[in-house]
Amino acid sequence: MMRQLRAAGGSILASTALAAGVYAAESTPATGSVRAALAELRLPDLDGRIVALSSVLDRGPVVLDFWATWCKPCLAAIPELNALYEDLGPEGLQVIGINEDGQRNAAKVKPFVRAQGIRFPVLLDLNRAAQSRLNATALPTTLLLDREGNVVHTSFGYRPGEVAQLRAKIVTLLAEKPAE
Amino acid sequence: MRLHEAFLISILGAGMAAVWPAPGRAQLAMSNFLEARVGRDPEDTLADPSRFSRFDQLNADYSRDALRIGFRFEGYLPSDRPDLDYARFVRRYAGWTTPRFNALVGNYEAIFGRGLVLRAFELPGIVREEQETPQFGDSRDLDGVRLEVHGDRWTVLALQGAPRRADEDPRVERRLGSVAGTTAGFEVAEGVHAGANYLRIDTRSMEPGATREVAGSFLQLALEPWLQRLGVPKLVLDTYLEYDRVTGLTGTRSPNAPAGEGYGLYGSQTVFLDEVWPGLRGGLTWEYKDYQNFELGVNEPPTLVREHGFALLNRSTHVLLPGQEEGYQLEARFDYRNRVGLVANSSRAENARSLRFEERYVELSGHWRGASVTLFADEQEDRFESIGDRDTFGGSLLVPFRGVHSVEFQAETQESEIVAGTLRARYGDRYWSLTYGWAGRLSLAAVRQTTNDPDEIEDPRRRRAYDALTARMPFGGHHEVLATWGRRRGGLACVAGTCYKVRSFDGVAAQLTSRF
Repeated sequence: MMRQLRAAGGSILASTALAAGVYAAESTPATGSVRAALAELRLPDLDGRIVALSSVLDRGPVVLDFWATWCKPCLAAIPELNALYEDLGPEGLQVIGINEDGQRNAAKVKPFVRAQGIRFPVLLDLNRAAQSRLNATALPTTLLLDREGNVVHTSFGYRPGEVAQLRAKIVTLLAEKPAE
Repeated sequence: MRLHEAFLISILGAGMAAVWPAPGRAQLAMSNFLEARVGRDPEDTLADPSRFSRFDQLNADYSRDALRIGFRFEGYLPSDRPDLDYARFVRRYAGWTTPRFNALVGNYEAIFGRGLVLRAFELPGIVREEQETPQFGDSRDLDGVRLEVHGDRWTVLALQGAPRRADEDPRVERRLGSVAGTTAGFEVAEGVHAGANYLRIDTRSMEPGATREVAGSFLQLALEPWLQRLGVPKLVLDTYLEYDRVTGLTGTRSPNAPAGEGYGLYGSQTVFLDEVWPGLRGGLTWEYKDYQNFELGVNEPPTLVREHGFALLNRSTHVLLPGQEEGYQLEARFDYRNRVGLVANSSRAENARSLRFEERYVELSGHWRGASVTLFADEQEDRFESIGDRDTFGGSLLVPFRGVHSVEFQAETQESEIVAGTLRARYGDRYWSLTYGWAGRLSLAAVRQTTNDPDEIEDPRRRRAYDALTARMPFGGHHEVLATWGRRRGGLACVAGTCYKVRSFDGVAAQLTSRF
C-alpha cells in the first residue's frame, strides 16, 4: 500500500508543482494548447523545404493527421481527409499530414502521396519530434486545433465515417470570428 | 536523476513560469497514458497468474510567450515484484523559441540528415518490457543542450548531450558517454538542398579513452520545378545522397573498412509519373546502403527493408546491423484512378559473413465507395535468423455500411523453413482478425493467431493459439479506452521504422489515453 501511495504521490506532486506555478502566473491559463509546441517544430516537406509548424495557425483551424505508409487505418482515412480539405479548405481550414515513417521509408513517401492522390500538404517527422511533442500516441492520431492552438478534438485510430463526424466541429470553428 | 532532484527542477520551472514578466497568455497542455493489467507472461510460470500491475505516463507542457517548460513523470507498480517498482521524472526540459532561434535544455530529439550519424527520438505510446524489467516508455533521446538558428534558406543545429540506451529501464543509469556536434543545411537553389554533419562521440564510460569523430555531407535534389520549366510536367525526379565517415574506432566489425575507421553511404532515387497512361500514376524508388563499422550507438540509418502493416509480416522482418551491411531496396507503385493499386517491392541486405536477407513482396488493392480489398504475397530468405525460405500470403477486406458502421476481416498464413547446418524444420503461422467499427463510438475485434514455431512450442504437431478480444472506445473528445482480454504473442514488433521486442502476455489489460 505504501508503495502504491508513493507512486501515486509522485504524479500528484509533480502536477501540483506545475499547477501552482501556473496559478501563480495567471489564474486562468489556457489549457490544452499546443501553440508553443508548434512554434518549436520545423519539419521538412516532401521537397526538403523546412516548414515552421507555427505558421499553420495563421489562416484558421487546423487538422493535424499523423499517419504512415504502412498503417492501414491511416490509408483508409485519406479519402475522407481529402474531401474535408477540398470542401473546407477554401473556408480557411488547413489539413496537414504529418508522416511518421521516419527515415526508414522517407524516400517512398512522396511517390506514395502522389499515387494515393493526397491533396493536402504532407510534412516528414523524421525524428518523431512532432509526434512526441504533440503526444500523438497512436497511428493515426487526428488533432483538431482552433486558431489559438487549443486542441478541440483528439481521435486515436480510425473507423470509416469518423472524419465526417469531425466536420461538424470544424464548421463551428470556421464560423467563429478570430480573436482580436 | 533522483526523484527529489527532478522535483526540485519542476518546482524551479514552475516558479520561473510564475514570475516571468511576459505579456502573453499562459498555456498548459497535459496528457496521460495509463495501463492496468491483471495477468502474466505465460512463459514466466513462476509469476502469479493474477498479478496486477499499473504503468502510468504523465506529460505536462507549460508555455508563456517564448518560454516553454515541461516534464514526463513515469511510474510502474507491480503487485508481486517490489524490485521492479519505480516512479520518477524521465523527461524534463526548458526551451526558448523565437522566429529565428530555438534553445532547449533538458531532454530533446534531434536528427542529422537521414539519421546516418545521429537520430535521437522516442516512440510515443510504445511501452517496453523485458524479462527482468518493469514496463517503461521507449525513449532514445538526448539529455543536454540544443541550439537551432535558421534563416529563410538555411538551418544550423548544434547540440551536446548524453544518449539514452533504449533497452534499459529508468531504474538503472541510462546515460552513457556524450555526444556533441553540429549539422547545417541550406537551399542552394529551388529544389536543391545540401548540408554537412559533424559529431564527436565520447564513449569513455564504455571504452576507456575512446573518442570517435564522424563527418560527412548530404545532398537532396527535388527537380520537379525545373522539369516543369523545361516542359516536362508531372514528372517527379528526386535524389538523396549522404556519405559520412567515422574515425577513432577501437574495434572492428567489418573487413571492408580500415582498422579504426568506418563509413555510412546511403542513396535513393525516385522516378514517378503523375500520368503514365490516362488515369494511371506510377513510378519507382531505388535505395542503396553500404554501412561499414557504422554502429555509433546514437544513429539509426535507413534499413532499406519494407515495413509492413500486416501482423505476420511486421514481426518477420530484418533488423539492420549497421556494424557491417550492404544492400538495396526497389519499390514500384502504380495507382489507377484511386480504384486499383499495385505495389511490388524487392529488398536485399548482405553481411560479409555471407549472411543474407532477401524479400520480394507484391500487393494488389481495390477501392470502391469506401470499401477496400487488399491481397498480398511475400517471399523471404533470412539467413541472419536461419530461415531458408518463408512464404506469406494474405489480405484484408473492409466494408463500411450505414455511413458510420464498418466490418473488417484480415487473414494471413505463413510457412517458414529453418535451415541451420544440416537441420531442416518447417513450421507455420496463421492469423485472422474480425473487427466491427462504429465511428466515434467504439470498435470491437476478435483476433486469433496460431503457430507451431519450435521457439514457442516443444511438439511441432501441436499448435499454440493466441486468442484475444479487444474493445476500443473514445469518449469526451480527448480520451480513449482500449481493453484487451486474452493472449498476446511475444516477439519482434516494428513501428515507424523502429523494431523492438514485445513480451507475451495472458490476461486482461486496459489502457486509458487522455489529453486535457
